[in-house]
Amino acid sequence: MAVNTPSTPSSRATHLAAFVMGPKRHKHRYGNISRVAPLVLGLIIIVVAWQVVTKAAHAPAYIYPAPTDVILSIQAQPELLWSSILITLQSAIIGLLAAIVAGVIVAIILAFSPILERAFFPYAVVLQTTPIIATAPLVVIWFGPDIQSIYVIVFLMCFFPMLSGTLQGLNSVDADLRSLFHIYDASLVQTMFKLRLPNAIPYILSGLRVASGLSVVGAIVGEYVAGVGGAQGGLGYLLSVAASQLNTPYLVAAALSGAAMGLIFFGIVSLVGRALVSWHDPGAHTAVKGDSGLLGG
Amino acid sequence: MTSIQLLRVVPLRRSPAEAVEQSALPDCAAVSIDNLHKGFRRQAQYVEVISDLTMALPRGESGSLIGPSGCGKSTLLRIIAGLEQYEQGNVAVHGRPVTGARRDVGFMFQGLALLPWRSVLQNVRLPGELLGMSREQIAQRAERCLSLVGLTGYEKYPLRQISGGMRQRVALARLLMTHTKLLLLDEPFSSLDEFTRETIDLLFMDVAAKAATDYLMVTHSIPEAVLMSDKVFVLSPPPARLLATIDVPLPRPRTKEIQDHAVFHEVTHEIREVLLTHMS
Repeated sequence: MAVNTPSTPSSRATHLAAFVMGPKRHKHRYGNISRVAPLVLGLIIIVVAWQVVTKAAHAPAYIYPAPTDVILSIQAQPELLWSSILITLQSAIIGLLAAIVAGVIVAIILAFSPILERAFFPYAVVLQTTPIIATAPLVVIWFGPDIQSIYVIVFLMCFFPMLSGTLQGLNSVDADLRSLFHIYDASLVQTMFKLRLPNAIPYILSGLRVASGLSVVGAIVGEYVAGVGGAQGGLGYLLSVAASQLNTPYLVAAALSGAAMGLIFFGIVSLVGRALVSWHDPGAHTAVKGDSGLLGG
Repeated sequence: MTSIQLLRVVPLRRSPAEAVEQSALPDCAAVSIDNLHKGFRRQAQYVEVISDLTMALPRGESGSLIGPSGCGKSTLLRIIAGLEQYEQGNVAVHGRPVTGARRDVGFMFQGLALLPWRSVLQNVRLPGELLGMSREQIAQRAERCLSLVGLTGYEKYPLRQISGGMRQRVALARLLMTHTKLLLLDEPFSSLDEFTRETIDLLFMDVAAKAATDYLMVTHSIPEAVLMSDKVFVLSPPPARLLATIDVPLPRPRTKEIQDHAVFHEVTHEIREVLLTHMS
């Protein structure tokens, strides 16, 4: 995750800004319609093609369910799907929030001391490289086949992107800004909270974008492995049950719900990003030749 | 009480010993440099950037460093500011050897080094926050400094909404927050268009005079050096040596019209001659 591309700070900032806030929005003559219409059109084409192909091939619904089969299966058991979504949502949010807090705090601690960073960061990478499928059963053994195991699994998935994103941001302060704080004899704490942490916000948000997607995956994997059933079963449990019953249309419905949840998380983080880092315009802090702003001089 | 007096009554965190030492040496030069050597290790080679440089800027006068690009002007300025180490020689500001960053010296960066996430006012407040001034002091000073540079009314603006010239004024206002006796400017106005730069040059001289602070600036522009300096230090191509110290016998305060003065043209010509002789 800790990618160190040999790019200039400004080009890195441009890419980062694009990543955090999405590509620059262009005001179009037709406004939002021109942006949304192709998306809707694409969706309609995909769904219709899916429907037509599966029905034309007379594929059985338990192997290749058509969109109508999926809808019918949801109508048959709407409460179960909805309650599973809520439980998975809860696990994903709790684990993600814990990872945000812990990731940022641990990054701040490591950033205070390069020695600490060198001593512990490589081991944090292990968290990322160990397959969650291997870790999840261990977590269930240690924390019990209960919902708190799911929180821990989500946390383990989300912690590293938060840590590495924050750490990268804390360590990528412009050299002149560092000199400025040096000139004013700023303390380590002042430099951290007035310079490094604000500077890290776009990086934290890009870590959050990755982590928000992983949180849903983590919750579903956790539920699948832990097999927490009954009232505490989330989408992961629903998936395993639907698969064992060969209830393929319901399986697809649960999978699509998970995908939609991830997308919504991603969208929320993007919106938060736009609002928080409106200042993160790579051209904003350098005087541009021929710049004609509000007051020429 | 004028605005400037108000700026100066608020003392910075300065140890009593430091204060005594300063007042004990009232007549020494603003900047004095003796036999300075500076180099960088690049791969296995040692590249000399500054070679046996000796120069002095008297107190109460302001100067410019001018020379071909890459000649180590910025490095020299950073050494004077205490931002860069040096191998050999003596560098002193107001008679005290430079051993690291210090409070009585202000520095304006080429890229201005403004914090992009802070508004105009918040940027100007920064030195006060870092130096532990009280809330009232910070508010009072920031207001004075912003009005000195003509930014009253723009306090709440985010940086991305103001022009390059205005950002320059923000950096200048921030510089005035502390009580410095010497300002070091690293090509601060070089990214502005000619007209804006002239306006900022004149504003800067006015503000520096009011704050009773000397300055030493690095510039690429000979006319700018002449307009703003009492002494122009002409440096050689790398490794930098001092080729000439050229006095600018023009009265202060300087105005736009002074650029039409015969002396202005003579001095400009003289500097160009020195540079051309050593470039070829």
